[in-house]
Amino acid sequence: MSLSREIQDLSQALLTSRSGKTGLIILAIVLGISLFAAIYVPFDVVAKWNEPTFWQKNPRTVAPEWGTFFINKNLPPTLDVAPDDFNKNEYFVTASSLKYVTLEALITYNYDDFPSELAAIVYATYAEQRPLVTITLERPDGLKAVLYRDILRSPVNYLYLSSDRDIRDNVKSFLLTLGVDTTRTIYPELSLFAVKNDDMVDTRKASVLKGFYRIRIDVIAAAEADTADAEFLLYGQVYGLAGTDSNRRDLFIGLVWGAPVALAFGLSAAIVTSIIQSLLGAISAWYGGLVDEVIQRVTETYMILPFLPFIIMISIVFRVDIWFLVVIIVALSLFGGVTKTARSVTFQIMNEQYIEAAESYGASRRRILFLYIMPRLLPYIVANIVLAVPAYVFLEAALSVLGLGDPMVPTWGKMISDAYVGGAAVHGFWWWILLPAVLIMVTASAFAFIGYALDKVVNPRLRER
Amino acid sequence: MKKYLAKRVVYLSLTLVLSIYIAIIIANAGGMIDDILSAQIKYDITTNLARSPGWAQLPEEEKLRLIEERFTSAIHAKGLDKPFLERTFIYLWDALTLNLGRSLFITSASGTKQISVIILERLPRTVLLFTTGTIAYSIVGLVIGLRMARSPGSLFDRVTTFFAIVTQTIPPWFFGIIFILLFAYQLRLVPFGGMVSVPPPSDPFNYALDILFHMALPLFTWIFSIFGSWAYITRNLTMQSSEEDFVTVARAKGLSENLIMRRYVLRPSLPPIVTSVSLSLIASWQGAIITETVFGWPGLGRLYYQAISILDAPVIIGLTVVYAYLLVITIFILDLVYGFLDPRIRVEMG
Amino acid sequence: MLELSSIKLYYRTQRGIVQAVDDVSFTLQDGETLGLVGESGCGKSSTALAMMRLLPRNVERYEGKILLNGTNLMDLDEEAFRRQIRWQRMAVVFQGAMNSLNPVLKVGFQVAEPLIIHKNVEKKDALQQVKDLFYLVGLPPEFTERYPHELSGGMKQRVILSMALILNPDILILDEPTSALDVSIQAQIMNLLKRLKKERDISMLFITHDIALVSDLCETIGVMYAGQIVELGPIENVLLNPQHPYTQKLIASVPLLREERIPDFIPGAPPDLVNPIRGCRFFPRCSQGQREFEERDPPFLEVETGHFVKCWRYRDQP
Repeated sequence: MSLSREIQDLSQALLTSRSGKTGLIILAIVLGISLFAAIYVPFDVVAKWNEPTFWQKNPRTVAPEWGTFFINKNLPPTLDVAPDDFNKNEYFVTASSLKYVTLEALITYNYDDFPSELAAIVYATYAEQRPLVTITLERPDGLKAVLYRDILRSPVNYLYLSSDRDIRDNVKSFLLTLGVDTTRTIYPELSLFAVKNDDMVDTRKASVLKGFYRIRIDVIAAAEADTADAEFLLYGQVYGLAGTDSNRRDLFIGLVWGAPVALAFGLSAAIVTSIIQSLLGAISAWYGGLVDEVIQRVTETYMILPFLPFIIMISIVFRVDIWFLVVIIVALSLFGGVTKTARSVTFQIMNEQYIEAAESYGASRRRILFLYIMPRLLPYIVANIVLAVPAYVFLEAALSVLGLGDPMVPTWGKMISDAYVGGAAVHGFWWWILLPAVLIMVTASAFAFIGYALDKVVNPRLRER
Repeated sequence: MKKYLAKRVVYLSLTLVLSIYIAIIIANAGGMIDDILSAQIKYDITTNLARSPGWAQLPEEEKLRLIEERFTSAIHAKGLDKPFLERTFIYLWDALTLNLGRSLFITSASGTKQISVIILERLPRTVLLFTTGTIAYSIVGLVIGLRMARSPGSLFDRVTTFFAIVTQTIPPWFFGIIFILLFAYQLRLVPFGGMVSVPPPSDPFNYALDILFHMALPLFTWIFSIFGSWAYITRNLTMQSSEEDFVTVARAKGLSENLIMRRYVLRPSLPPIVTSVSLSLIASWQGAIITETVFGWPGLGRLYYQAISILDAPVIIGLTVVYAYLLVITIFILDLVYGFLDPRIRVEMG
Repeated sequence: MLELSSIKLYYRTQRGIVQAVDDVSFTLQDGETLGLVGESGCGKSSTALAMMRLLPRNVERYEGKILLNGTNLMDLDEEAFRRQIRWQRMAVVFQGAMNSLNPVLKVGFQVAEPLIIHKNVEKKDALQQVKDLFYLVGLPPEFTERYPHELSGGMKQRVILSMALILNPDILILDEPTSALDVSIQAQIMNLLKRLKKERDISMLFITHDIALVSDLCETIGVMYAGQIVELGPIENVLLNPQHPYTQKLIASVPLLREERIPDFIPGAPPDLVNPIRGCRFFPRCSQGQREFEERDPPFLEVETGHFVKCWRYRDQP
C-alpha cells in the first residue's frame, strides 16, 4: 500500500534470490569502478581523451601487459629513458666558440621481442643559432649506428626514429655497411635491435640481440649558455592493464571512465522514461473515458514509430552530445510498453476496497493517484528501469558504431565502435574489442539478473514447481 | 474479422503517415530537404539547358540568368516557395507515393542514382537474411522453450534460462563483432563479412552456395542472440497454458499427450506469443541496421550506414520512409495472423 | 458397478507431503448417484482426480484398488487407461465451467472430439451427434459453431455436460457443477441432471459442499473430512439420523427457511493435510470426543445396513 512497503517487497525479492544477489553484486562492482574512476582519474577525461599529444608516450595498439601470460615470450614494455637518466657532459671550447654537450644513457634490453617504435626527444636551449645534433646507438655487439645528424628546428624536437624518412635512410646506410640486403622496407626498431645476420631486416625471422645498448646524443651548439637534454623512448609491445588503441590512448582509463558514464546515461534515460510512461498509464486508467482513449491511441502510435531511424536522422541534422541524446530518447519514449502495463495494473488496483475507502473520505483524485496508485506500480517501474538501462547503453553503443553519437565522451560503446572501425577484428587487436565488450556484457547481465529476480514479484505466476 | 482488419488498416495508415511526416519535419528542420530539392532542380535545369543547341556559345552571365529564371519558375511550379508547413505536406505526399528522388552520391549496381532502384536492389538481401533468421530463431526458440516447459526446474531448464537472461539484454550486432573476431579472424572458419566473395563465382549453384557461406555467421549470430529469450517466453507461456483447467479436461477426455500439447497448450498460447513476436520484430528491424553494418551485408541496413557516413541525405530520408512502410506492413501481417489465431478478437471486433 | 478400495493420493509440496485422499473406499452401483460432501480442501476433488488418474506432476503416492465391473483399473498402464477408460467408461465435469473449454476451438468440435479420437467417427457425423446431444441438454444446434466466450455460464455448463456424455460413459463424475452459477441456472442444471438420471441409467458421483443439492439428486451420500470418508450411507438415513459428529454439525449448520433455529457452526478450522494426526482427525473440533480417540485412526463401522461411520463412539456396536 505505501511506498516503503513496496520497496521492502522488492528488496526482499532481490536479496533472497540467487539471481538478484548476483546482479546486485556485479552492479556494486561496477559502481565501485565508477567511484574508482572519479578518484583515480581526476583530470578532465573528456578533454584529454581527445587530445592526441597527451598520449604521445604510449605505444600504438598494443596489448595489455598481462597478455604475455598466454604467450611464452617476454614482451617489452615501454621504456622511457628520461632526461635525468642521461649522463650529461658539457664543455665549451673557446677557440672554436663551440659548446659541446654529450648525453649518454645505458639501456638494458633483455626482452624476447622488438620495440614497436623508437623515438627521441631533444630539448634544447639556445640563444640564436640552432645546434647540430647527432644521435648514435651502440649495440651490445659493438656496432654503432648513426641515426640522426641534423640541425634542430625548434627547442623541443620530437624525432620519430621509426618512421622519419631521413632517419630510415641513415639506418639503411648502416645496414648497407653490414652487407645486408636493403631492398625491402627497413624497420629501424627491428634492425637496430636484431642480431647481425642476413635476417636482420626480416620481420619474421629476425632475432633479438639482447644486452646493453648505449644511446649517445652529441650536441654542438654556438653559444656557451646553450645546452640540451634528451629523452629516449622505446615503445613496447605491451602497455598497462588494458593496452592501448590506435591513438595510443591507455584503454584502462577509457574502460574505467566508461562505467560511470554508462550508469549515469542508462539510469537517467531509463528512470525518466519509466516513470513518465507508468504515470501516463495510470492516468489513462484512472481518469478513463476520453483521456484513456487518447492516451491508448498515442501509445500505440508511439510504439510503431521507427525509433532508431528517427534518432539517426536527428543525430545527423543536429549535433548530438550524450546528454542531448538522453533528451531525445525521453522524447521518443514518452509512451510505450510500460504505459500499457501500468494501465492494466491500475485497472486491477482501482477496484480494490481501500481505493473506494479513500474516495469516500473525500480524497481528491489526484491525491489517490499519487499516494495510493503510483506506489503500487513501483515493482513494474523498477522492473522496466532495470531492463531499459542496458538497452539504452547498447543504443548509445549502436549509434557510435554507426558513427553518430557523442564523439568526445569515452564510453564503452564508443571504444568498441572505435575498435571495429579501427579494424580490430581484422587485425586481431583482441583487447580493444574484448575488454570493453566484457564490461558491457557483465553490466548488462547484472541488470538482467536483477530483472529476472524482480520478474517473480511482477509476474507471480511464473514459478516452477 | 473484416471490420477488425479494416479498422487496423485505417489506423496503421494513419500511423504511417504520421511517422513519415515526423521524419520529414526532423529532416527539414535543418533545411535538409529544401537544400536537396533545390540542388536537384538546379541540376536538372542545368543539364537540360546544356543539351540545347547554342548553349555553349552563350556568355557566362546569360547562362546564369537563364538558369536562375528557370529555377525560380520551377520552384514556384512545385510550390517550394511556399511557407514551411505547406512544403512539408508536399514532401509528405512525395514520400508516401514513394517518389524518393535521386541520391547525392550512392549509385545502384546498374549505375542509376534513382533511390527507388537503389533501395529495391538491397531490399531482397535484407529480407533474405532477416526472414531466414527470424524463422530460424522462432523455430529453435519454440522447440527449446517447449522442452524447457516439459521439465521445469531441471538442469536443462535452468541452464537455458540463465543463457536466456544473459543474452536477452545484448543486441545481435554486439555478438556479431565478437563472433567475427572469434570465428573469422581467430579460427578462420567463415568470411569476415559481405554477401559474396570477391570475385563471386559465376555459375548460379556455386553463387548460391557462396551466399549461404557468407550468411552462416550472421545467421548464427542472429539466432544465438535471440533464441534464448524467445525460448524463455515460450516456456513461460506454455507453462501457464498447461496449468489451465481445459488442459486437465483434455487429459480427462483421454486425448494423447501430443495432441494435448498441440491443440490445448500451444494453440491457445499462440496469440500472446504472436504479440511478443511483433514487439520483438519491431526491435529487430531496427537492430538489423547495425547488424548488417557489422557484417557488411549489403542490404538496407548497410545502405543506411553508407548513406550516413557520406551524408547522402536523400538516401537517408528515403530509407527512413521505406523503414516506416516495412514496419507498418509487418505489423499488419501480424495483426492478420493474430486475428486468425484468436477467435475472441475476431468476434469482438466483428 | 464401481468399487473403490483404500484409495490413497498424496502430493509432494514445499511444506511437506499432503495426504489429500487417505484410504477412501465406497461402492457405486449401476444407476446409483452418490453425493460426496465436505468442506473445501477435504479431498473430494482429489478423489475425482484419483478416479480418473489425472495425477499432477508432484504426486507422491497413488495406490488402492478401483474395480470397474470386476476389472482393477489400477492394473492398466497409462496408455490402456487413456484409450479404454477415460471418457468412455468414466467422464468428469469439473468445477469452474468458465475455464474448462479451450478458448480457441469451437464448442461443437470440442464436444465431438472424443468421438473423433476414440471412436473414429467422421467429423460430420460426430457433429451431428453433438447436435442431438445439444438438443437433449437444451441448447440450440447452431451453438456447435460458437466459441466458448460467446456463451453464458449456464450454456457453457451444458456444453460441458454434453461433452461428458458424448461417449455414453458408465460413470459420470460431477465436481461442483453448479457452484459458479447463479441460483436459477443452478436449478436448470439440476433438473437436467435429474432428467439424465431417469433417461440414461448412468451412475453419478456428485461432489459438492452444498447438502441441499445432494438431497435433491442422490440416493447415497458420503461425507468427507480431512481426506477420509467419515460417514457413508443412504441419503435419508444419513440426513435424518446422522451418526458422525461432523455430519451432525454439518446438517445443523444448514439454515432452514421457516424455522427460527439459529444455524450451528463448527468451531475451529479444517486440519492441515500435511501432517495429519494419528488418531481421529475430527477430534480437535469434536464436542463428543474422548481422549483416547486421538490415538488411533477410527475404523469404518456399519451402524445399520448400508450406513457406515468412521467414529470411535460406535466401537461397541456389533
